[in-house]
Amino acid sequence: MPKRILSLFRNLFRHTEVEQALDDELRASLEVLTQEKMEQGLSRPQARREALLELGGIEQVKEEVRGVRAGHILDIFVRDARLALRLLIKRPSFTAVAILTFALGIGATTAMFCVVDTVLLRPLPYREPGRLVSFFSVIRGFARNLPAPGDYAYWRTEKNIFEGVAADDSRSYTLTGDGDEAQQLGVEAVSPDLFPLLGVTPLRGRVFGPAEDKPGADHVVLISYRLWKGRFGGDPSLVGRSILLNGEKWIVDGVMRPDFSFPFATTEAWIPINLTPEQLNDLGDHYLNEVVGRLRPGVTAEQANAALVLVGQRMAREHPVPSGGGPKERFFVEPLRVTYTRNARTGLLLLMAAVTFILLIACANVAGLLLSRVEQRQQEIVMRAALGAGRSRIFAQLLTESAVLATAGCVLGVLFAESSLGFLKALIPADLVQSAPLNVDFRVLCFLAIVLLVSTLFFGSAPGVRALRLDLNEALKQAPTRTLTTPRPRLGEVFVVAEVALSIILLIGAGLLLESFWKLYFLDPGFQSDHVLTLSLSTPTTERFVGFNQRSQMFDRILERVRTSPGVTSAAFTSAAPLSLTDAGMIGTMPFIPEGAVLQNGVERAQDRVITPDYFKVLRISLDRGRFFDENDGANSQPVAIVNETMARTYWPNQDALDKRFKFAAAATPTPWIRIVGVVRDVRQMGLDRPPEPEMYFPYRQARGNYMVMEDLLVRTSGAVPVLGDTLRHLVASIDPTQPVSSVTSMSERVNQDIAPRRLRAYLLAGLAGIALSLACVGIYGVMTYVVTQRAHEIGIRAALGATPRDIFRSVLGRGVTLTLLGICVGLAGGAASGKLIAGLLFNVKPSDPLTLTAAVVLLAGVAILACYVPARRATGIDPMVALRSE
Amino acid sequence: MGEKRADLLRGTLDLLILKAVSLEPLHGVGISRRITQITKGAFQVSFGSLFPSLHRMEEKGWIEAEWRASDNNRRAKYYRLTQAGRGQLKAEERQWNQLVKIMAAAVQSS
Repeated sequence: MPKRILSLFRNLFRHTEVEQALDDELRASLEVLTQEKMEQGLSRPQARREALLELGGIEQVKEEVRGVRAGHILDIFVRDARLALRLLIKRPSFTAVAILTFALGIGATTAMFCVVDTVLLRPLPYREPGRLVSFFSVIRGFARNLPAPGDYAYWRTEKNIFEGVAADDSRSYTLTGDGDEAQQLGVEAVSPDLFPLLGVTPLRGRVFGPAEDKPGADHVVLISYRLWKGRFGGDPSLVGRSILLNGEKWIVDGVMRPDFSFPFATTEAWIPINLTPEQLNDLGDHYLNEVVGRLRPGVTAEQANAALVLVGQRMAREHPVPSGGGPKERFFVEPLRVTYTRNARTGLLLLMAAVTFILLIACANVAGLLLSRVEQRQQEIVMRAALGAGRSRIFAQLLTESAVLATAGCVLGVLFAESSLGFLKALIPADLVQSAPLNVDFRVLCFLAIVLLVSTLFFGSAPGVRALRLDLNEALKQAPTRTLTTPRPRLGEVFVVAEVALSIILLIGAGLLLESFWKLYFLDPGFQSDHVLTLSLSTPTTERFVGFNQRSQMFDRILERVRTSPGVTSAAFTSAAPLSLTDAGMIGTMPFIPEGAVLQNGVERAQDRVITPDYFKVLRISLDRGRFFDENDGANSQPVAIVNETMARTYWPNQDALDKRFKFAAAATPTPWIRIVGVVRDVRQMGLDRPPEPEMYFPYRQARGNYMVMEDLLVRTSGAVPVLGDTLRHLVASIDPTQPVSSVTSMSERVNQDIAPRRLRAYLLAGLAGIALSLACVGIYGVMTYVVTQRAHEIGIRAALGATPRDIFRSVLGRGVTLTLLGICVGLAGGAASGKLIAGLLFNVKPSDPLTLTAAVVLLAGVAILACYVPARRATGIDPMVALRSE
Repeated sequence: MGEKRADLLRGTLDLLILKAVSLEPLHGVGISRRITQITKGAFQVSFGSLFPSLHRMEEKGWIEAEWRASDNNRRAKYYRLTQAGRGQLKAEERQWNQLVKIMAAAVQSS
């Protein structure tokens, strides 16, 4: 075999030499033969003719020899590619349109694949991430409740199903010391099992173990690589020393690796969760940020869910209602990856589908272009066939031409994709743990190669098939006979239908998303966001309730100073400003029991917020009935609450909720009845697109429960909002320098951010639909022009027989309109079938929304008619004499 | 030779070429003549089949070529059997003899 490889190299790289040798050999042979014939008595010219005859033609023999050489196929490909390149360069406008079209398609697809790959396809940066799951509980009305520590205690006993289960509570600490300014840290309090469960090890030091996860144990902390490098300059001696968190000493046990983050990309430190036995019995307070588990090998999520049903039943038996805060209706697990990418997933898949459509349209367009080229090159192809080129050779040659086009388009497309990545970054959720850089890498190139291959075969075989159908005899006659019957559907016309169908689906999708976005944009969220500034003054969570009185006093002082600041009209504190708790779609809720209610579950749940009296005034939330809180609602006065309309309607239907009473169903201490003194309008707290849920507000002086701590300061200003930010920051620092201030932003900005993903999706899809529309327009124009050229003869005869230009115009346009309408019908059917995919992304709009459907159809039909108009006009200009004579 | 026979005898052609050059180095035309001679005129190999076969076998290393002066003092490309070619010739002869035996037995059995 080495001999053969040697030959291959020689054939490829010393092509001229090899060819020259062959030529020499054949000429020598010809000479030998001629001599032979001359010896038989022929004259030299005669002998030479005879010799040539016997040899069978030098070029023919050469071609035969080439056919058996090593690397023959490669050689053909290279020659075909060279020919293709020459042909393409000779027709620059055709080539430019084809390459640009394909580049658009492949660029969009590549860019979107980059995003999808980064967000959805890359494995989570943990060991065997496929077996990691997160836990949720379904409680009446709340489908994805955060877990309670008591739930976690039950789940972790299921050792047959889970290798390990770890709890995680998100907290916030202030890092001080070393003369640097106070820094607020995202800290996760986690079970020590978490690290072996995820299969991660620290870069330096060690992770904490069960011994450090006990009440009374030393304070230990693990810090992120980013914090270690940024704040501590990568000091190797930090491990074993202590740092100041909330003014207390915490010993640094270890530094995590650069690629580790859990559960958010922004998490800076991890501490033991230190759940007390009381907490582990607490089934009522749902505040754990996350509980993750690792399935045993071979156990599926379904099996785990089946087992969790039994756990739920056992728990209901052991903790009968209402002592424990009520039965969970159901527990379930889902793959951790799904939890992390849940919000982004549908939107990304939709956009991926959209760019695939663009690619298909682009391919159809290029196929149509190539098809008309085959028609123009008919003579050349037929000549080649007549000279002995096999069908497969012709097919291969046309395919090579497509491949050259596609490769050029691909290169340009990757450049498009690269340049759009900066813009597409916004599609990646900020909190994603697998924060790989967004770029065109090896995986993407592999994907690209596959796309290139498939699309080349797709649009490259169309002209090939057409060429194979050419009838040698007919075509060679120069004047092909043409009939005047109705033109049968041509391949190009099929492409028109396909392009129109794909475009209409994209247009409808874009229309629906835009309409959803606008509906949301003009939606009344229940509060007025303009001229409101929000600041987050996070509270040290470890002592959430311990220093309650001191903190209340501090908040009172801050509020007093803020209120009297110039430019401030009103100010209030709350436990959570609207739209501040929307992440990951998880909500903590409060169990309660309405007085006198006979309820199946014994308890109900509602969201809760603690506010200072002016809260509703700052946000201009209107009061429906009753009164707002005032300074008289103090710690020692009667416990009161204000509820929203939804809560009033749900639990006191057809009654006045005013003066009704309810109490908390918390496990530990008995709580007093709470009287409803007001009903306020619903506010879209959890996201503008989320329907309001039952909700209750409590005066801050009557706050109870360790999560009812005020964090967010809301300020209504008379002038421009941003100016006040720094003033207020300094004001807080002057009252308590250790109090970190974060998330200084306007309420309008929060609203903006809340709808930003929808806006981005809608605008992107609209852009893609626009591209589709223009590609389809070019495609229709190309095919119709081609059809008119094809029909020139027929049209000439019609004109000669007395058809008016108007008739001809109508005939051509009619054909285009028919094709378009056919495409629209196909597209509408396809759109109806895929309506479910998009339904989850819509807001107050149905997939069958008549306005969008009509608009899309009218727009597309208009563009299609426009695209047909020019070729139709051209058809009327056909001179019967010229058309007839030309054949 | 007709197309079909050529297909059938493609293997045979290799054997004939190997056989032809096994005695002494020959150029293309010489090989053609030698084959006609040793088959007593039954086979007349077309050059369109001969040259591709020669080049294929050369690439396989069964034969090697060298330019030298021909009988009437013109340069020609002479093919010579290599060591590998000799082995191949033996193997093909064996196969052929086997085939002939089998075919003969099959034909006589009816």
